[in-house]
Amino acid sequence: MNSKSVFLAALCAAMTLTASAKVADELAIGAKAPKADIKLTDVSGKPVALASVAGENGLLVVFSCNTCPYVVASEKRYLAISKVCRENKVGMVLVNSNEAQHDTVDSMDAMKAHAKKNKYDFPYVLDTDAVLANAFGATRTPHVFLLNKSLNLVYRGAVDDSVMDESQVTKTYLSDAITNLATGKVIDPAATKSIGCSIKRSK
Amino acid sequence: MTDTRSIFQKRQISVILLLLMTVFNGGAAEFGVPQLKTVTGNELAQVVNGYAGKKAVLVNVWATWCPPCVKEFPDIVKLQKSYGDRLQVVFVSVDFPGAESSVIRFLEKQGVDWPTYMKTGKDEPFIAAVSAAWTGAIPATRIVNVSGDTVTFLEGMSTYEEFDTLVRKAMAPTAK
Repeated sequence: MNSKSVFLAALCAAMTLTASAKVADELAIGAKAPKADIKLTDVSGKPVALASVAGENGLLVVFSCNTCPYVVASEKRYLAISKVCRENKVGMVLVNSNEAQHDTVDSMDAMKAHAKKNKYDFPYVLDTDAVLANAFGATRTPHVFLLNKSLNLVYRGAVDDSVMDESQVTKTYLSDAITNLATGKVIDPAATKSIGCSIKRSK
Repeated sequence: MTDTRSIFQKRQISVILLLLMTVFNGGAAEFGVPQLKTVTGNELAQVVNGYAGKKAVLVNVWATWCPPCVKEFPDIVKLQKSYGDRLQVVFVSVDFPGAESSVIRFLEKQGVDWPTYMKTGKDEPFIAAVSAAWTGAIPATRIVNVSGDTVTFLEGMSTYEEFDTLVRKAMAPTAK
């Protein structure tokens, strides 16, 4: 095999790997947070990395957006969750990975307006090319990932058991997971599911 | 003129009655054409199982405000129109309660004239009933063969060609 053939074979292999690795499976419980050091732009204009937002006891990463009805329905709960995070020394960050809509309804300008309107008191960052969502295997909005102080995943899934209607909530999964994380208790369930809008990736 | 106004008023009353049925009929909202019924995860499983031995089934979870759902919707309707004797499409809307009239308008525009569903109840049992492989993102599609076995689960939008290939496989008498 000459050098040209070797180069082409390597290029094909690299392209195959890139394509197949685009969206990972949902991050497994216990797995380390990927891409924790990449800088994403916050609505404040500042670059933010997951590792820099983490609190003494861990970090909550919420894949979210501006317009999904499931986000809108659960959004008022974000501020309550933020308060629980602060009380338990857990950082919190919202990530907008809707790359196919980053020129329209999920643009940085739209994110700034959305954060202001909803009184966000945590970073809301733009995930260009959905790099973070692909690495976490995030599929929908809202989709939450709670990490411990070592940035290993301890809880994944839903905010609670009734995203559509807060008045029907009977299980506060995420809030319980945060307090259990901070107090060293077992987090059970560690993974839940809820219906949400698919993350709008560019094909 | 009077007759026209009378007809118009009658139509208005019909629409109001229809909306009142939706609001007050709770878990059993049902319409004429298109037919829209509320469904829990368990009830959906019964609907799908009811076709075992008779037809293949394509369950599609969608919403009127979901762009990829709306984009693939006509392709799925086309499958039902093409293979109705061997395939049953079961649409389940996850639009929010109160959006029934929007759902029905959409179904009418798409030419859906068979029983159609709207999810009710908590998410997790519903997700489990659709597929253990479903993370919760919509659109989501499960294809079941004539024997009642799930042959494919798809999360995200698919093309007509992709659906057609999978559905043909599911409709085959010996499909597994």
